[in-house]
Amino acid sequence: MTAVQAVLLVLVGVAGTLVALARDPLRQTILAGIYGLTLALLFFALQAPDVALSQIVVGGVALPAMLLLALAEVRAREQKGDDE
Amino acid sequence: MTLLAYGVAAWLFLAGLVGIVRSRNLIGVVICLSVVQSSTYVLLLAIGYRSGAKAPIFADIPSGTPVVDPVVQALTLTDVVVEATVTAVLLALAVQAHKRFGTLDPDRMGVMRG
Amino acid sequence: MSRSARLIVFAAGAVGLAALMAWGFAGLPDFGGYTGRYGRIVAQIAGPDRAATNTVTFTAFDVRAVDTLVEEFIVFAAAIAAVALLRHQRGEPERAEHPDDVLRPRTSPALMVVGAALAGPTTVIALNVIAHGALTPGGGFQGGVVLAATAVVIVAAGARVRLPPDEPPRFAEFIHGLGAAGFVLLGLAGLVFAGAFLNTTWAGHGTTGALLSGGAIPLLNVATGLEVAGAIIVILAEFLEQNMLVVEEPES
Repeated sequence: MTAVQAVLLVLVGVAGTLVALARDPLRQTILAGIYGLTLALLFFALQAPDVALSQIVVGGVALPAMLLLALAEVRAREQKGDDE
Repeated sequence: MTLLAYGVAAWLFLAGLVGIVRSRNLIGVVICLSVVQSSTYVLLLAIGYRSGAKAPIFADIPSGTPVVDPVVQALTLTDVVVEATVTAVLLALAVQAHKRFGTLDPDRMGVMRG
Repeated sequence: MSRSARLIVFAAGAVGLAALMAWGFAGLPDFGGYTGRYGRIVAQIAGPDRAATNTVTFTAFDVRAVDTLVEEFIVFAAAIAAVALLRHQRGEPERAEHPDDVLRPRTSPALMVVGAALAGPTTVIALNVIAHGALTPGGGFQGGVVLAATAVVIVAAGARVRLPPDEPPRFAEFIHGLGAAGFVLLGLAGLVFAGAFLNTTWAGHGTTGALLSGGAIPLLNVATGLEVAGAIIVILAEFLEQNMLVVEEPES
């Protein structure tokens, strides 16, 4: 195992732990985006460019978009509930 | 070093489970579930890795050079995209639950009927 | 079950699970010492048999194509499930009265400029990644998500959209279904012309390294890319909150 792979494995473990420990869902979304990026770097280091490309587009674009839209919808409904 | 690779996969699995059990927000549960799913990708790719081998694309290396296993990569790459869409269905469920109960806290929700 | 009781039960179970995982992982080969023969054989036959240089795509769309068909239909079903769950979300009373309104998101000028600049290159990159699936890292799944990202960029830049209240956006749904049906039709073409479902040799070999190589693998990639892009656009359109869009006065 090369040093790059060892460092990236440790980073992935730390980032995953931070995602699991976060409280506020908005903060968790941003941490999940960073976690996805470290995962993609790890996949590159493990000689898997197809998987890394998949992870970049999903973890950087599709997943955060869905999470942010769901959070916005929930917050809009809560605000509408407060106004009534 | 074998311990580090497989250990990180097991650690991510357990950390994601802890996040699911401890969280106070359904959307947090969904994000921690995606962490659990990604631990399986790390495990698959760590299994298929061969020391000193290259990526399994023969566009610029002569055929016959040792490459890492392409089968686990094929399994993982479709799985990453499928995970995103299944996460979308879970988020839709979470939004509907919020509409029904007014809260996203799993401890304060009742039973969904119908 | 109260929260603390749940955490205690989980802790007990987690200890057992960790022990099981440690015992199971001890039987795996050492990191870097994988000796599986299936992968080695597949890597050796990709070039000579199909003139495909990307062995991962060759595995996913040729050797294990039925797996990929099933996974693609999971994406298809997930998009339909998201639409079914959120259907009455968007059909709120004030929207049902004006189903043909043209909507526009509230954006800033900076976002409009960046979005307009990025929309074209992103589309080209998406189509490039889809088309070169058999040659370089890429393929239908990755390129499909990038194509959906193009739609996100265009809408975020202030495009006018028309969202009928109880159905998904028509163009996205069209390519969604076209991609899913296209994959199955290409599989049936393999059955008709080459004797086995999803056999890809009927489309000829082409030269290794050129764009038209690898049998029917590029066609399968295009079908998958359309389907994944359509599914993600449909899902994102379902989540789009009414408060983010304002009704634009029709220019009559």
